[in-house]
Amino acid sequence: MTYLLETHNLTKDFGKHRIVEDVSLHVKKGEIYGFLGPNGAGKTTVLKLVTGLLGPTEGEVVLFGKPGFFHGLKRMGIILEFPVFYDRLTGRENLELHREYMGYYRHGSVDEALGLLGLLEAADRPVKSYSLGMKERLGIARAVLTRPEFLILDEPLNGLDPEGIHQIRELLRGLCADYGVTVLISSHILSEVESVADTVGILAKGRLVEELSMKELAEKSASFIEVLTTDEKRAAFVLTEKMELSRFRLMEDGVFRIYEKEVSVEELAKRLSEGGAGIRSIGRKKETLEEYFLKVVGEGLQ
Amino acid sequence: MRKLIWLEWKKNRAGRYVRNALILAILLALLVFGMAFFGIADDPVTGVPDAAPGMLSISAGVEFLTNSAYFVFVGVMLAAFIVGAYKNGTMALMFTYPISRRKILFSQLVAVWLFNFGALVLTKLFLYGCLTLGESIYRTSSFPLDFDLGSPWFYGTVFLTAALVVTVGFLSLFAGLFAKSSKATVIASFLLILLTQGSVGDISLAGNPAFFLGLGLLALGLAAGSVITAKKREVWFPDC
Repeated sequence: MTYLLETHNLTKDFGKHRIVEDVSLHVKKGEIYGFLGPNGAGKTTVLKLVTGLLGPTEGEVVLFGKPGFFHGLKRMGIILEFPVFYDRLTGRENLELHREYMGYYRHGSVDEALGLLGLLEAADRPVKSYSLGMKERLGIARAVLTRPEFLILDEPLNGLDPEGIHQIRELLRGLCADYGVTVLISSHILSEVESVADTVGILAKGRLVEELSMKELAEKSASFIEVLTTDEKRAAFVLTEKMELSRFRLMEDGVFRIYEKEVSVEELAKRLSEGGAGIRSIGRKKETLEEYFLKVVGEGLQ
Repeated sequence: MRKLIWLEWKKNRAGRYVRNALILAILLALLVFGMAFFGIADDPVTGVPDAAPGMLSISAGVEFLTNSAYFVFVGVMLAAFIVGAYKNGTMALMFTYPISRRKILFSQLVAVWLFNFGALVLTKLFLYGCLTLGESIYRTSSFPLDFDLGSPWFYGTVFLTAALVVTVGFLSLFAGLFAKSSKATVIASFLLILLTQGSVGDISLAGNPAFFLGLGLLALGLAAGSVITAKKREVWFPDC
């Protein structure tokens, strides 16, 4: 397996506080990797460690098959936290500056990147007059300007309207499919990346609690029987005492979710009725990816 | 390296600093011209210049004014070019480019140093030129004009003083970086004026070349240390 980025047991302490612990990411060449986790989970810290803005307390980063980060910078497009610019310069001047620093001189690349993100009209205005969404788009334009092999985008969809989010998703899909660009995109909302990601890594409290392909994620998001009864206490008694089940959960709205694969809907309905717990509704359902994500994050936080 | 320095000037809009340096030079020229030929520093009762000890010649006034002004000018530029870059996150952006951090920091220091050295030399020469022109017009001066534009020694002194002043001015950068504050950089530059140009009673370090040279060496040492350790240093962010 060719990994474009690997981290081995990456750990980062700030003073006495351990912010990131034993994070081992595996980003395959040509894929879109969704790096997920709630706010404050340590995603940005991991990305800063990957790009060398922070040094690890322990562990190492392997980029393009070599340990370290510096050799990879020329082949990468990076947005961390929020895109920063020289506010007095125009959007075009900022991109030209970026091109100079990256040593990339392909004619027309600046206009191409501005056009791709719909910023040609605003290109000659100072960046300080841009809205948050325009700055996000300019940041992405800067990141893709030099046609990098690897894009690291930290919460790039913040501040974008639904149309803008759709546009960026399409852009990422296109870069990945047409140019073989590898993308690592972080987000605290699974739904933002689930339609584009091939693999997701889920971070909670500085630890990588899950790293799996979207296919595996879809398989893992368990199916369950959802039942709404007339008597919660009696139903709980039947499930635990009569049927000896342990893998069920009572939801906030009085609905039971039973995750035991061996139990059929028919059997459950019969046993609940026999136990005196009337049934209002019953059926087999599948956990959404968002629910699975929240469950994994919740377990990670505990 | 030349390209990096040029880019530093370009992205920080060095044109603004050129304009400000021009305005500063004109204001200082008006001031020393007034002191020399219009008697604005003369005591209204006695009619003789009301100058502090050691400031009885015009060159002392020119040096005091230009050096003090450029301590602040250097501080302001360092605050914008380097301390501000750390604070607004553009330094972190710079460190994501495939350029050695040492080169980046060195180019920033050199960009500020070269600009201020050039501007200070030109300002001093402009002031001395104005005084020479004034002397040819007015013939008399309240302060003795103790310089000779035809002497190589004069130019050597101007260049050396300018280099030393700008170098010492870099001490404000390290104060600003230590305090992680652009304001601290500018305040430190005012403190440098007090330290190097001020006096307490009869005691003053203004005319002490060894002290000035010591400060210059300290600034050079700190700059070298800052560049050498740049590779290992983590970037601090506004939210840190």
